[in-house]
Amino acid sequence: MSAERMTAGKPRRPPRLAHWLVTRLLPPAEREFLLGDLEEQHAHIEQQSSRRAADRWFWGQALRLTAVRWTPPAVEVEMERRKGDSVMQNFWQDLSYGTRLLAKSPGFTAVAVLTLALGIGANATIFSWLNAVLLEPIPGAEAPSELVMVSGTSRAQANISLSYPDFKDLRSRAQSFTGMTMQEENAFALAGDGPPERIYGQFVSGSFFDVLGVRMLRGRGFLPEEDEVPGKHPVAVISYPFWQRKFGGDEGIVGRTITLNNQALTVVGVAPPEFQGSFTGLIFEVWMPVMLEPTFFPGSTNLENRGNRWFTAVARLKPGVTVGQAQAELSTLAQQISAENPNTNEGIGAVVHRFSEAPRGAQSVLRPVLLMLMGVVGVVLLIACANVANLLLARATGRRKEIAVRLALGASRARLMRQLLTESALLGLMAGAVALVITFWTSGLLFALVPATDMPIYLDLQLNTRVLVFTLAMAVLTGLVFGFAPALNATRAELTTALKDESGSVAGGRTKGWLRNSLVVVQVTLSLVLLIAAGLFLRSLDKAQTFNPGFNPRGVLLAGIDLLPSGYTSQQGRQFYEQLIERLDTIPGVTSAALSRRVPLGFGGSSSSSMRVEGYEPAQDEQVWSFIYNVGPDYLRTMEIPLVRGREFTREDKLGQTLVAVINETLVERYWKDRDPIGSRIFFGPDPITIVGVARNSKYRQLNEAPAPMVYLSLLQFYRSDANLHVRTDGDPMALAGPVQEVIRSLDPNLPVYALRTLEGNIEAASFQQRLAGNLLGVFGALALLLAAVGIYGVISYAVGQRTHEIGIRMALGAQPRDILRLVVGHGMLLTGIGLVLGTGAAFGAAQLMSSLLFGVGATDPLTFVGVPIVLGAVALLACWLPAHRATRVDPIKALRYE
Amino acid sequence: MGHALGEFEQIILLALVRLGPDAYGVTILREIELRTGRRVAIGAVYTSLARLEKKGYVAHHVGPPTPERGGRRKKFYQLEPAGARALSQSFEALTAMIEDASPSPATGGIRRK
Repeated sequence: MSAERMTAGKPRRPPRLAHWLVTRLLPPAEREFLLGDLEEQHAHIEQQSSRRAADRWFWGQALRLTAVRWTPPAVEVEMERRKGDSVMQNFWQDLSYGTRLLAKSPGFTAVAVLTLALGIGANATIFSWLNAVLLEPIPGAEAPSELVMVSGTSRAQANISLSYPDFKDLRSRAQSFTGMTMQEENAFALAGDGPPERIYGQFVSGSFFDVLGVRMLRGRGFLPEEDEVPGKHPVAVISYPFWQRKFGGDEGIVGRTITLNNQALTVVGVAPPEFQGSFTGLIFEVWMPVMLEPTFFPGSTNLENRGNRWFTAVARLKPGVTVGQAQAELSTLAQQISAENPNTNEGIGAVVHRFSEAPRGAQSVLRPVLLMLMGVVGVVLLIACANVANLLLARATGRRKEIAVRLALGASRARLMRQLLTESALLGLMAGAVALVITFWTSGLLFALVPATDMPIYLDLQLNTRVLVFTLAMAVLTGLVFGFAPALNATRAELTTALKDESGSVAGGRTKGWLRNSLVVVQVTLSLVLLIAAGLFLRSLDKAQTFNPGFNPRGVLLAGIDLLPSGYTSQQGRQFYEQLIERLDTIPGVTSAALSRRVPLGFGGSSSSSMRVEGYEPAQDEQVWSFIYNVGPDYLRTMEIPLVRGREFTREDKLGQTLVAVINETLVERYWKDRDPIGSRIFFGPDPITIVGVARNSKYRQLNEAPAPMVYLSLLQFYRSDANLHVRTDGDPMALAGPVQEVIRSLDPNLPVYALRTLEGNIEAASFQQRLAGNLLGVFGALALLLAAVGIYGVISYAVGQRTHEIGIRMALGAQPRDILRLVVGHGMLLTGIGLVLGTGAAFGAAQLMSSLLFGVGATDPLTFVGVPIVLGAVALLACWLPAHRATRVDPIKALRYE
Repeated sequence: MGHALGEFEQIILLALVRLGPDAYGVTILREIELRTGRRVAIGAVYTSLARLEKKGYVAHHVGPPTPERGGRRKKFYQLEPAGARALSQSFEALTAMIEDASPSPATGGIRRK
């Protein structure tokens, strides 16, 4: 061997895949000789001309051997059979036989494949979403199942942010994690040619990329020393898309400079393409050490002040440590920290969430809906399976003779079962392939249902290996599920009747009739459950859309601005706001305009704070708190939130004047009871704020939230650099987009205006779960209804065909068409009726499970529970009536002669 | 015998005549490719040989393991008397038909079969 290699160079082996293919496909009797020949000639050609020519030749031979399904000549096959039953050989025989059989009845194959493909496609689609949101919540991160989110708790709220000193203490003391890092999202203004561009980035601690297990594509991540001294190291890591978009993929990127909010930063690394940040559903383009936070927000005490709670942390569990153990440890640590810092940390805890169950990010909104939808598509697939099983049963009747002959000739039942199951698995695989094509299109549909928002929403919904494997497994499993009962049934030996060709005989029909009828009952049951679920969600969606949130969302344009990145001081900012409000009012068509930092019922988050109310003595351990909105003059009028007492803010409520607040009714009920709130004072810090008005309650975060306490503060007094313009008009709000931008440009040509959208579109976020579930369940429900109708129609048609003889006799004996109609329709409606009763029961159970996602309708909504069965019953009646009507036109003479 | 030989069968039988004791898959394939200039599928060779064997025209024996084929054996074929007879019958039929015919490109030449 070695001598050979040294002299001529040993001939290389033929192409591996082709070799494998041939080895698998050749009958064992000929394999040795043929393989020998192929290899010998391959080596020969390689020596004579080239390796490529040899490989090409080998592939040509291999493909021709497989493509013509080269079967060994008859003599050899017999010999081989006697030698034993090779499983692999049988499999290929079955496969080739099955393929030919399916090709022979293209109609059946098409219907079966399409039905299954819709079922499998629905599953693959929802799974691809589930995968992106729950299984790979941080694309590009290593072992995501080990990652947890750490946030805080207070007495009043289950989920609040962490402060930096608390985070540092937890990180240094916790033993449950291999690493812990923080993350805080911010928008920045990127300087370039023309007006600055708004991009999103994260402040992170130095170990961020190490904890997540993200390896840099170019350059490096952050160093420990970059995590120590505030403002000392102005460095940044940029995303792959950013690198491509802004630098054209420049290889010399490390060391170049980007300018964010007028701060120059040195690029030290480029993240890999799949990594988009650590907040599921949002896309970030730049990461910076948190030590730069005070550089970007001058005067910020966020890094020192234990009472400033402003971010969440991500940690990686040590191997073997459970979420429960980590939670126990952090609770203890939080108590220690609380004892050491009673002023700031009274009642403050820490909470560990599995990343897929984290209260922030896309998973918090999507998780319950996706889990429910996964169950729903499972049911859709079961209905599809029942349909195809029914088709197979009908076909098996046609093949009874073939099967009986083979059984009589000594084929084992197991062998026949295997063949029939191979056929159905083949159907499943074909359906899986079609389903992948469907999923390729449908997986992106999730975005179509995402409401308008001012954030860069992103989910990696591309089909990846996991989705492919899931679909493949689903396809094979499906094939076995729907194929098993028919195969079992078909191979039940009833040789004499089958061979006598009494295809319509009563004896042969009974067991199959039973199975077929059961399948219809199952279909009706499952369809009803789906349809009722769809009905409940569509009603919820309807309620959500017509629900009065306490303000009027129609006819309002929103536009986002942020003054800080453009270098405004708070004094310049206040001035800008005042001028802006004045000019907005002059736009023709504008009936009212106002500024507010927060937009209700969006994805945008909320602010809340504890406070002190003059004249109110809190009970032991009671926390007095409220949500806070910083709003400009005329906000309540623009939103059409009714004012109950007093006044709202005017342009005079600015710095230097008395600090004022407007509160809502819930706050009055909680802390004033019978006292008059107007003129009394509240404290968020040392300065007193005087209440000047009371507003009606409205919804702030969710449609179904309990009435929440709210304090409106004057934006001109409590300045924030970021705000949303609210512009009300009688006409189409989007028509104002141009004029509004024009006004802003006239004040500052370099100020970016982002996220122009309507308030109505923005609050779709509040009904996102109902919208997603309602839309998809509507589609799946319609699909289920169609499949059930086809199933019933098929079974009744088949039964009519089988009973032609009997119907002929009945008619010859004087039965009227209406009797026949009753006979046939009665059969179908009996099955439907049983299904409806079972389905209603099951739907009651299912509705309880999803009641938390419903809005405005009860889980036992009578309209849905009565209406939907009526609709399904009517469709079933139609599906029965068509074949029944055909039965009445049976000619008795022909029918009797039929056998 | 009465079975007419197909063209490919004739070619294979002629290859066996030419190759003598060294006739097996690869040599048969090479011989045909060399002489006729056409590409031949190995599967087709084996299928024809099996058919011819069933008719009793050829017989095979399995050779010893060969090191150059990784220990794999060769399946040698040889012409049987019946095969030789069928081949000469085909040849005679063909020559009889060719006599007096004037094969020319204009009339399409001699037609197969």
